[in-house]
Amino acid sequence: MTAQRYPTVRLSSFGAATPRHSSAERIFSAWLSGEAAPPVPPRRSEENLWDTLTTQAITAALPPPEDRDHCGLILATTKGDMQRVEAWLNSNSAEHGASIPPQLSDNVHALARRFGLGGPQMVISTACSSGLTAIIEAAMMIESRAVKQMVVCAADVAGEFIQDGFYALKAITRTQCRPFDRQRDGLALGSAAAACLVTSSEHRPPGMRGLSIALEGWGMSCDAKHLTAPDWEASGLIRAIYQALTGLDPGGIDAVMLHGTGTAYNDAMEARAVRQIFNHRPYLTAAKGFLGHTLGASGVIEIALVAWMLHRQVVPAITGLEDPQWPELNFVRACPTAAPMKRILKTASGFGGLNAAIVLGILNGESISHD
Amino acid sequence: MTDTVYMYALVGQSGTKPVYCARHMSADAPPPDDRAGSNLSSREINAITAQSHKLTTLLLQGVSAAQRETMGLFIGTRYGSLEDDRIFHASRVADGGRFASPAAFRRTLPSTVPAELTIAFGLRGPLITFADRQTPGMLAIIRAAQWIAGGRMNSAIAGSLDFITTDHADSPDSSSVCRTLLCLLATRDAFSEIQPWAKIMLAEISSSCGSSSQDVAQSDAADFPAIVRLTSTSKLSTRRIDQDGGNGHTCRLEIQAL
Repeated sequence: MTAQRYPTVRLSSFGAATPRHSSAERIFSAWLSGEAAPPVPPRRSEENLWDTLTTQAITAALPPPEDRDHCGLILATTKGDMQRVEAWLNSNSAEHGASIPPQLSDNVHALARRFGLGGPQMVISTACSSGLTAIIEAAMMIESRAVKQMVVCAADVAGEFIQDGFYALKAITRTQCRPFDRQRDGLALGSAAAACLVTSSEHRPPGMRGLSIALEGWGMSCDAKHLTAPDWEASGLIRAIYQALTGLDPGGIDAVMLHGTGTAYNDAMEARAVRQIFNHRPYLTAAKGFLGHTLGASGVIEIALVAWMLHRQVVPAITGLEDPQWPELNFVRACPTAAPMKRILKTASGFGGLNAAIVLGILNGESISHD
Repeated sequence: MTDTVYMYALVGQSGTKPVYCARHMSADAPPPDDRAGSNLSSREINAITAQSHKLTTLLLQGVSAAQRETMGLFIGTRYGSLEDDRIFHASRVADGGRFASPAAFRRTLPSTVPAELTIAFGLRGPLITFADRQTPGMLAIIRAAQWIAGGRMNSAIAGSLDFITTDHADSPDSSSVCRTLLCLLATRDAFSEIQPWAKIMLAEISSSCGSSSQDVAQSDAADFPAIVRLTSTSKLSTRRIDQDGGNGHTCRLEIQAL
């Protein structure tokens, strides 16, 4: 493809919720203050946790009421509301076919009805890159003028089914999630929802609240190697990052919010990609040591945190990182680092060898905060 | 969209009924998988994998490995990984939660079967899996066409994959669904060895104001037979489907044979 730059897209009105925090700002402040990582999620998640988290996140991202009839909704998730699926699996219905099973798309229609969003609705499920993929797809719909505004909501709840799966894969840490540390031994799971409003950069939604940043570039690429293990050579991630950087100078990336799961292979792959692409030493951080791996929600919630990094001009430290395996890289650890930043790269990778990368920056001539 | 995006081939199978549409593909080609769809058991977790692999092999005739390097894969699905969810759940019950089958768990994502296709065929472009009750295939085709039209990729495989057994498949004519519909979309000069078969004239999703309050229809995905009808006449001129997604959006796809 040609190396042309495409129009930037606006991401604004960020909402986020976890069982501990009810807004993106509170999550960022808690991370910045060095709050301890969350405990292991309970085997049985709180009743209606899916509804609670998605409601808190989407409420912050909604356009004005007069715009909602034509505003679309993309839900990014790996499994949707698993409490409903688990109830179905545990019932005789699943064994004997007595009822129609719950389907992923039911979740997005229910949310659209609840919030009166009448535009196109879709679910995107590309494993742990779902959040970034949904943002990219919303941006593509804006760019092709298929729709003027899209709310993107990303959510997952780490209930019994998901916990059992990651324990079965031996992917869960026995101690604490330690992204990029020599002692890292696995991920910690978390539950979350996050949302934002996606519009063209020229369109400034009336009544826009909170932070507003530019989506300046994006890329997606598959490893085409293995269903669960990332490509050791990081070929897919490197391609995705180079696509996202099309027309930009890699030296203009001030910081990178990495996927940083705390698993042996993911973190090694990402370190390899950073070493290969950047000749300078951008600040490197990752949120999963603090948030846990929130699966399909992770991309959008971490984009919301990037918006706060750009607003506050500070890079939070990687929770759990004490002894970096790659000391030549500029990981932020122990305490936050204040730094002038205009542009931050966000990456995500998921099962199936799916990789996505986006470049986020400050909108030309605008302040980030609209409060 | 005109003069931008072309359909080079379409292959599909629902149960034992294969569908082929392409200039370079023999009309009397044998069914790609005469087992799939007819004798499925609930533990044949790879039935959709087998069907989709064989159809993709047909679809990619004449496409080089280098051309696949940047090819996208846009897949819609109604049931997603629900069948594999049941299998993993059964393992949880039988073996104890944390000792359940890791092999079964890694298949519990709607993107698993598409990811298998990327590995088998060396597809390294963007992969997106959409979940949609009524129009999974059309949604994927339309979105892939818009990505190509927008200059974001040169070629893509787009369509739908679904597999579910027993009466959960609310299909009137079958106790199971094993259904694949895939088409090859690309720009006019994407391939040297094969020629396009039809031109995409229109590919769009439109929303109807306020219709999100309507209930979603419970019937099976209706776009598979619609797309097959769209492409089933050898001398078609221009044909169009307007498929109501039943949830606030209508998918429109119009093609013209070359």
